[in-house]
Amino acid sequence: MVSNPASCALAAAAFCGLSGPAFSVAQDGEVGPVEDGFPRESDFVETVSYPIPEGLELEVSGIAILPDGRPLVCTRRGEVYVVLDGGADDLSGARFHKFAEGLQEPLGLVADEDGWIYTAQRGEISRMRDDDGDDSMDRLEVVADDWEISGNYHEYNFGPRRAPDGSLWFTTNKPFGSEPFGSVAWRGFAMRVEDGSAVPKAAGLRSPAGLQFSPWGDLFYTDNQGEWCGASKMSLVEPGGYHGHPHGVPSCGDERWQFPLPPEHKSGILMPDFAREEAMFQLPAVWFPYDKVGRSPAGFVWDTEGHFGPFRGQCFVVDQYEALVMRVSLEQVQGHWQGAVYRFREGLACGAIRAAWGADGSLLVGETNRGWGGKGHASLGLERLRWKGNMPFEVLSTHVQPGGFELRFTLPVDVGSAAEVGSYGLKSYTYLLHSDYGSPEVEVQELEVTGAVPAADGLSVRLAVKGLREGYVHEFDLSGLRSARGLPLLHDQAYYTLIKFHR
Amino acid sequence: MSASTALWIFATLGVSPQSPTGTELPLPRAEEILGSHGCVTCHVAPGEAAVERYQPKSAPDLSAAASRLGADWLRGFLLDPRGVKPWVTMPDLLGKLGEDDRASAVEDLTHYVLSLGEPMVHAAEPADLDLLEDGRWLYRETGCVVCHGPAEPDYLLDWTLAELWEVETLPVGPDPADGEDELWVPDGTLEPWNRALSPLVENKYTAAALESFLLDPLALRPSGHMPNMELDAEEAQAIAAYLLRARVRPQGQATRVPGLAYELFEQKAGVPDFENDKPVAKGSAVGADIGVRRRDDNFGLRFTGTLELPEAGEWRFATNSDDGSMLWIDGELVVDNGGNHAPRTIEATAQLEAGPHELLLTFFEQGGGETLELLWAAPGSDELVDIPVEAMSHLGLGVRPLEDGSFQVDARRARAGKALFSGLGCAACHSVGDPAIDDLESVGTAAGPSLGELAGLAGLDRGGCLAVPADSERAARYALDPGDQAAVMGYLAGDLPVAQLAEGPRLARQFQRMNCYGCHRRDELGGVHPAIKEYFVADEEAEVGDEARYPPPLTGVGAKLRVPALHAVLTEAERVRPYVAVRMPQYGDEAVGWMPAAFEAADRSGETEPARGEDLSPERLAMAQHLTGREGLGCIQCHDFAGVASLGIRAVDMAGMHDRLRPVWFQRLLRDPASVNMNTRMANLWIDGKSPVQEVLDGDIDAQVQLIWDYLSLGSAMPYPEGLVVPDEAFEVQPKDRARSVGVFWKEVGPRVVAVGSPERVHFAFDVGASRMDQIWRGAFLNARGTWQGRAGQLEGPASADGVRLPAGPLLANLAEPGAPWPSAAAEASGPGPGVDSGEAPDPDPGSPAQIAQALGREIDGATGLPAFRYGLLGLEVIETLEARLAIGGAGALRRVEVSADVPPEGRIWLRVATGETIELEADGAYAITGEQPHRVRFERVAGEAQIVSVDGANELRVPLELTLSEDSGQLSASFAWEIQW
Repeated sequence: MVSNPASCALAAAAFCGLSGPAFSVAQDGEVGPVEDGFPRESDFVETVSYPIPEGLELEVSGIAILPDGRPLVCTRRGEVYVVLDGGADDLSGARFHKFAEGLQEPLGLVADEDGWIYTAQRGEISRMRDDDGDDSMDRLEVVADDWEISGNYHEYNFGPRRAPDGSLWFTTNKPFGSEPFGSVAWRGFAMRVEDGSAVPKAAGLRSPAGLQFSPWGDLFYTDNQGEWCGASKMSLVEPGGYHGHPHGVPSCGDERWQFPLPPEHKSGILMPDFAREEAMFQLPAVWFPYDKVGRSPAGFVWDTEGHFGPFRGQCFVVDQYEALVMRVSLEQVQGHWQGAVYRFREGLACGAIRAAWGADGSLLVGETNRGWGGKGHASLGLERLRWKGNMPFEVLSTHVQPGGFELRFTLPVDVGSAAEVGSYGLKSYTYLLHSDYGSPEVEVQELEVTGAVPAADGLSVRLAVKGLREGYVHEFDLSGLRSARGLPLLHDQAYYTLIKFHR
Repeated sequence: MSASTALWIFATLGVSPQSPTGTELPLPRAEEILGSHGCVTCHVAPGEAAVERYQPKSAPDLSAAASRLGADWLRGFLLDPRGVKPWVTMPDLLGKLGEDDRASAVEDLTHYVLSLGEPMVHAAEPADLDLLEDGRWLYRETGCVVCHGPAEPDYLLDWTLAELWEVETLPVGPDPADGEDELWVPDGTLEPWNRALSPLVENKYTAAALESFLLDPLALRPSGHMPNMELDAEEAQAIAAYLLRARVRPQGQATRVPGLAYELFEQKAGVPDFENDKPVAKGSAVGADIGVRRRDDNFGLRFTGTLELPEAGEWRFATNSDDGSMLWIDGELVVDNGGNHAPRTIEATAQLEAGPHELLLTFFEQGGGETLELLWAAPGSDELVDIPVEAMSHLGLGVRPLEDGSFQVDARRARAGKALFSGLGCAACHSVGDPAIDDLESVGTAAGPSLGELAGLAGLDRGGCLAVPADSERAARYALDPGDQAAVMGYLAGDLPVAQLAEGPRLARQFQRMNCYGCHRRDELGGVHPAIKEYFVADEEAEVGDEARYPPPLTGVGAKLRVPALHAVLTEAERVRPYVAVRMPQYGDEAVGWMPAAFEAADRSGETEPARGEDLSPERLAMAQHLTGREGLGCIQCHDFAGVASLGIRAVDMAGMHDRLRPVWFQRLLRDPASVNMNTRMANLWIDGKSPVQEVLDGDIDAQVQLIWDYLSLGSAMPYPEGLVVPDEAFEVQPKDRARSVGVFWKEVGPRVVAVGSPERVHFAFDVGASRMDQIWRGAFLNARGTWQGRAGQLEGPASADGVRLPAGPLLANLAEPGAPWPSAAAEASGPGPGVDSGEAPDPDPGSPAQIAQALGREIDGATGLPAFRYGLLGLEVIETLEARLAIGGAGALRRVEVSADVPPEGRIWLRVATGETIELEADGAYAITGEQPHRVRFERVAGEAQIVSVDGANELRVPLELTLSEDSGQLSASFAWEIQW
């Protein structure tokens, strides 16, 4: 949650640079309980669902924390609720007070200190206000609405998020299926609100369900696999960037698009090839290989405070299909943000689309799977994830190096197994830019790890690898590694999206 | 005697209409005959009033006879009409011919009649036993039985038709000689009027023809003697199948056939609900054959039949299926091969006796490949093999086609038949869709002496139609029984009536003619005969007792119901009591359209309508909600309210009462339920002449009755009484104590609309995209299923059609002159970029450029939750909303508009309130608007002088905007409020 611009004024390097760990791992940190010999995710992160009164369809589609610390959620049915008395450990006393209704599929909330609450409806960015302090909206104002909608369900608007400069940003989903009121412009864009007008900043988005400013002030968004989006991804929004989906390109002929026209392209080209040809075409920060680590990434947050133990500075992404929280470690290489994704905590009650840090440092997850199905026993809800204070044995972060990688760990690795090249499985693949729905993994190659050098403290290992490729996912199988105490990794897969070599 | 013959013999025991014991029937027998036998078709009646007395019955239209009538039946009928159909009114026109000539004429006529229209399709169809069983009960319960009599004895109803077909001899009923206790029959009750169906009906119609006849009998017989029973297609199909059941399976053939019976299901996904889903097809299959499917994914099959085991022992059974399958034998699950999977064989064993066993196999396929095998291995055998088809059998029944296809129209005979048809005078009664023949009707009429002339001629010994045998060349042979003959003779011998009947007797005659008395009692005559009472059933949940079983008594109904309400029941098929199974037949406007006015004239006394009550203020509304509610008089304990179930029994919905009932009758009912002539369970509300609700209107009973009446005038839009339990139905948005707003895609309007509902049940839709209010409605608010279910994105609309669409275009416009055409409202967003197809509706009036409004937001009233929408237009800021305005006679709305500006706007701004065909200022200061959206408008506040402006043949109510400068704020403003009633 980056509702307060001041909290964004943190230098990127402090979190994600290559100059060493951003924090020290507690050497004597307790490893979680080891029933059956192996720790489980639930040993480290507890989950509790808010009890939802019967009849309340709390399909949470946006979460903000009010200045007084109470959570505020919006729902796909167009309602906004203040969460009251949610302080108890088991959340049993939580109640929901309706703040507003009649919004059209709001998909995000920003609560400002001055009392205004911003949301993205289908047809407008709006702000709402309670003037008399009864926790009910008294007025709503249109902030920007100079785009049209066609009446197609898939034309969602996600956001808004507030940039460090105070401006509001949102993303527009492209239609899917019939458009009863006619095809419209500006679908599949990242937009910035300037003087009450929505100004397109990046084109070619597909279903950009989550967006967030990084602690260092860059805007990232997550997109969902589909046509022209071979795999789900997290990407950086750069002015004038083109992200591959041609649906909205005709809109760019309008003067509101202040950049060169996105390139025309064929269907069925390798993404890295196209990126080499067309500088405008932007490859992601990370791909989420389909079904291996989520299917439908949506909302995400950076942990700037160390709420989740060792992972301070990293990013947590919720997935709508898998009812899963994923973890992303990023680094900047040759000016490009890239990094690795890992599974983090599965078994949520329902597929999730929104996440926000609560006032107490727990992660609130907003859930709805309506229309898409997914894992979990519930179809909607609000869930709280809390770090239990135990230290898991995990890959902390993955870094590309000249001729290889460095892996860092949360606890010392067993130096013997870490020094064995046979402990590492590694393959790489990329995706096609094409009109088919999703891309298979193509140009798959097994890579040879030719050397493995653990650090003396066991908290990292450097790998020499043959055949790294730019524009490829590098998938690690680390099931051969053991911690110094003999435990396997809690998650032994890491997916590093290598866009730029480290030189 | 075969079983089915026995059924038919029972059915032929038709009873002719009979006089009630000791009561004179209203309709003189002679007049009835003159009407029903079409006498006045050939013999002109003396004047309109006389024709009105006879209500001549029309003969069936034969213009498409070939597609529905069987040749054998037609031959038989022409040879001996009365023999085929005992109560037939068609005369025998061939009786005068010799036997050979007669046979030849019958053949010629048959060929002619069956040359009319498209020939029928001769195809055997599978019999659907469920459909037949449905038809069996529908025949009884919808009311066919009231006129046509039971089609099989009651004691057989414990058996299914399939069981009856399987038994060698029919179960024997109670011995009629035992003699049940004699039924007590109220005075004036008519004997059940059994127009028994002929057993030969099985050869008359094709199933399709009978089904379409049952769906719309008036198309073939417009005089309404066979009324429309308001069946839906499935019901008509079921009754037709039942009536033609004798064609199911030729007698003597084995009923069991090899293989299994199948039912095919097509589900959305997963496993079908075999118990509750409706199969899309049924039939016989050669074993567990999935070849009967109609698509490759998302289907399911249920196979049933009998498995014959040659020996006892431990049998092995298996299914190999993709996706899941399950096998039950004798009701026990034997093989569980369920779940979504690739081809997989699961086997199990069962210890079974030799002989027949009941087999049930279910199968479903979701996606991908599909396969199903049903296997067994006999005791001691290792190998699982397909269960041979011969080991399985099931009840296999088909419907024999009406004709074997051998009948071919012979052109020569048809030509001869055509000549006969016109020569004999058939054309006088029947249409054939051929002008050359149909226009011969006049020939028939001219051919006979007038009724008046007949009066002088009449006499059995004088020959003519009534003579036995008929001796005139032209006379038709009616073969009336001697009593009827005498009645007609006597009638013709007297003075023919020429005067119009008074309404009372006219209604009574109609009640007899159309057999209204079969169900309804009126003025001490008619009503359900005790012998057929068991056929009248009710939806048991209604628990209204006999009121839910029997049609209501109609004595004084003209004083009870308003004329439009009578019309609704008689000619518009309205069902006020949905829990009564028997249908109110629809006889057609021609036959019964005069009755409502006649009821009024006959039954209404000179009582004056009570004056209207005071206005329905919010306070009075609250009192009424209390009075009718749980803690008040408790109306909701028994009566439904605007579609919401009462707390108890399901008595008549109160929302319809104001429209249906006359106020005087309502007052009498409420003051003393026993005083109105109605078999009612309604209790007296007042205890010792005192109202139990003293806190409302000081317990004044008259004032309380008046208040309830005024409240009921809100109709289906009535806010609910206190304590009524309004169920939270899925996606139904029901504003209960505050207004509700829902953002939706709105059909015909736009994708950015907020629907706003109020607990007063008056609602509106505001198009935020174009900044205009689009429509107002009352009653049910919104079902948001299309917005809240699944991926949603459906276009929504109001849940009630009871409303008004507001004029298209913006509310305010800058006009060069007062009569200039109004501009359109454009959605405000900028146009799409090049290459994007604009779906914007074309500007309806190219002469007036669209005005662009800017949505600014909304303000919410903290107390009511009602939003007011703000927008900018023409340099003005507008804020508008709409609230319920209750009024006796129906809720309306108050539309409020506030306009403000910092600087005077450019040009001349007008506000448009209404458009219509005509607009007239009425005496009470309201404007009456006619046209597609008829309504009334009355200003409460208006800043400017309203004008009726004629534009392009339509009229518009426009107000030139006059802004007032506020000294304090320095702002210009104008304020409007107008009431909208419809």
